Amino acid sequence: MDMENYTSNKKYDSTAAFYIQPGFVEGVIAEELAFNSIETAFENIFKNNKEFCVVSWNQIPFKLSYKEDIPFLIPSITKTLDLLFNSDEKNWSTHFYSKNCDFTWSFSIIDDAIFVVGDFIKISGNHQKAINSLSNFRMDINTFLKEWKLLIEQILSAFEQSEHQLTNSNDQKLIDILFDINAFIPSRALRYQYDKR
Amino acid sequence: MDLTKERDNLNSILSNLDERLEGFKDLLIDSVSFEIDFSIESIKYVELLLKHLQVKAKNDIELKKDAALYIGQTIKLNFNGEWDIYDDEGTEFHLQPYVKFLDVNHNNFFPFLSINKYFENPEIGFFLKTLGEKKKLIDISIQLGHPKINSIPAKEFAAVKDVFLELFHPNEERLFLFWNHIPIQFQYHNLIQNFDEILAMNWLLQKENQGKTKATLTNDVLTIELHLFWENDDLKIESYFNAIDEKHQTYTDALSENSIINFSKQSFLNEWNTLLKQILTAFDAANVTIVDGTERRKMELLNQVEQAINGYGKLYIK
Repeated sequence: MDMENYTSNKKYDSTAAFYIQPGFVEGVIAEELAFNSIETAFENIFKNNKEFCVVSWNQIPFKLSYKEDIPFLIPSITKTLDLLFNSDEKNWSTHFYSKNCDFTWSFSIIDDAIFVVGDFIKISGNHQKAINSLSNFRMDINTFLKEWKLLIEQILSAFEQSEHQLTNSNDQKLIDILFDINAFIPSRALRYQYDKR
Repeated sequence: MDLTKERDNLNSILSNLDERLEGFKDLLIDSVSFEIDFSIESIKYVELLLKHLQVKAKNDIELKKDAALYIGQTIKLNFNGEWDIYDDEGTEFHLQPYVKFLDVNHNNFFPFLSINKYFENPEIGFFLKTLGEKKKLIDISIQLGHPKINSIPAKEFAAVKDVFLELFHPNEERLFLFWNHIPIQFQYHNLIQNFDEILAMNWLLQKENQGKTKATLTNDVLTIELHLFWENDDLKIESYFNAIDEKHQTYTDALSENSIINFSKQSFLNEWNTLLKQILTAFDAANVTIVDGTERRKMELLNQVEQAINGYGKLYIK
């Protein structure tokens, strides 16, 4: 871990380091179906989605498909953000795996900043080598959390609109945790707060 | 049939492949004295068999399926591939079983389509040749951002590109050009740098049946020089990606892996037209007036080009 980089007083441009731009979610139909897992439920919910969620990492973007990636990443996203709110952990790693993605992000918290180191094995576009060459960034924790808020809102809103049920109580609990996380994050990234920019 | 059902079908067939190929195995032994072993060499014997049985095989759907499965599985095993169902509604390959490769130097292999193609010119070595020489299935698409348009009082501008600075906030959603799935981001605010090039490229492409042109696009980390050559709907693009700073060199290296591509001219125009339409809509909403005569001509051109292309990108059509 490049601690010299992390602990410098340099002011970082947050969107240059990391941002998430969710895609447009196509209309979700209320189907009231029961699913055993969060992954299969969201594969169904996002089945008509065409736009991608784009994550930009040190100005190198990669895309996540709503059909093939996001449903499988929701448990890892929830776990990571939950640790930020409900744990005294200062260092942890999360593995993200889906059809087009295989990567591990290691997190460290120092004061109000979060330090993230990515180890990318596979991303859509196969440009993981490029991202691995700029594998780390630091950000203010609140700014980091705000980047996730619109995507979380999309996930929760789509789930509610679908009126699906999760028969697996552990997966239902993940949704409940995601609702809590969303409530804790005070606002979206600045570019989605049109009155404050 | 949807993608999930097609994938389930394929997986079900592959899980019983040995059993399914029993008859095919016997036919190979009887006809060309070869026992299947899933080696590269064995593909030659399948080609011999199909050539030998040409008319019968061409009309025997089950035999063609078995041969396609065998060749696909052999190629998968020998070239580190993976079976899947192709998912791209904008192409003829949509919902076709295919073998994709971790090694990007190999083209996707569509065994069921290739079998039919084989009968047009049944030469030994056809399938491996197809694997190496088929045009790469490069994906190019544009995903728009959803920027909020600044409300500006109806205003006169000298140049079209000046409007972008007023109309779009710098901290706004980006638009992405997906270059074989690698996103290249552009800020709407910074379209001031690229608008003239994009308009000129699209104007010439849609206007001429045959020609060549060059366009240079830039963002914060790279420049792209596109050299376009086209005849009717066949478009060849030679592209040069240059990193603005050294730390993004690996990013431009990744993009450069697909620097020469062949694409449908109309599909390429449709992708850009989605952006042209969005710009026109934003300018209309802001009631923009361009006062300079030459610059006003650009606005007219923008309208003409958008209407002439008359199609939109694959992310935005049903």
